[in-house]
Amino acid sequence: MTLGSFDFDAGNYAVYVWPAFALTAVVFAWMILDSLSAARRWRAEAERRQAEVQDPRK
Amino acid sequence: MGARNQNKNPFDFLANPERFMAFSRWAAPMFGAIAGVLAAAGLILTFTVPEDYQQGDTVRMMFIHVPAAVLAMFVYLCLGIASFLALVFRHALADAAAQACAPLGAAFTVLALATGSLWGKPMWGTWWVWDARLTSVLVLLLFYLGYLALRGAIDDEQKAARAAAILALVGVINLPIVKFSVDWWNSLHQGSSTLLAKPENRLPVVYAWPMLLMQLAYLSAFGSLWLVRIRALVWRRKARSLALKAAEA
Repeated sequence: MTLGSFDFDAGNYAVYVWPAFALTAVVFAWMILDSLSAARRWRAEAERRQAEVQDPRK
Repeated sequence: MGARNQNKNPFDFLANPERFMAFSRWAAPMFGAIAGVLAAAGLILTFTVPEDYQQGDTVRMMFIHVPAAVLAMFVYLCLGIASFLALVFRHALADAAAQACAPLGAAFTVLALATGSLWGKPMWGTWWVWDARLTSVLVLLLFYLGYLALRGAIDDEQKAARAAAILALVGVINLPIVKFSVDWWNSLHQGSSTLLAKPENRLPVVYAWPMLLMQLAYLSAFGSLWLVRIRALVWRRKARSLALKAAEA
């Protein structure tokens, strides 16, 4: 498939080219989601513990 | 006088967790945004450059394979430096920096091996060959996995950090082997084709631009994600320390 000057037609090599790009997208998605979710989870936990220390009734 | 000299070492600025958190709060999203812009530009060029006269459309895989391979080695160098600082100088954040970059380095190494294999099959006629470059990169992945497994296997955080740091430093020996394997031994893998290579081996300018943009995009993405993961570890340590205080009270 050719869109303007873009060339997405990899012909017989498509079975190698597209899995490589798809795998790269999946691994980047994992790196981003795992990093952000770990940061959010531990920030929330630290803030909850901090609130408990300041007010033990919580 | 002592106070004036306190920040002489550039590492001192980031070794303080509070200053690091203030710095990384704006630096992490900034590097992430830069990575997004560079990746968009790099991908536009990736799919607009002409196909190679020998490799056809598989040449487009070069722009995701080579940056992943470079990052696999660069992140291990960061792991080695952070481990050294944690082991010898006991910098407050050095161990967190080492721990934070290991999963990212392992991911880049997996990408380098998988995209290389997908490129190798149509160009070399095989998914895998036990030659020096491929084998040394597999060893690099095993060092990353060993580091992560060791940290997970020892309950005592300090002992785990020390043992993993020693393992990480041993693995640094593998970096020059990965880099120079194609020069030291006969290899199916091609030699260097960067701007520092011999003129006849250098990448044509039309391919050098997408390569440069994608390389910088990967580097910025790593910078951003590394900072985010260090921040997560700083909060985790704070949460655990507060939990310990609460249990003692």
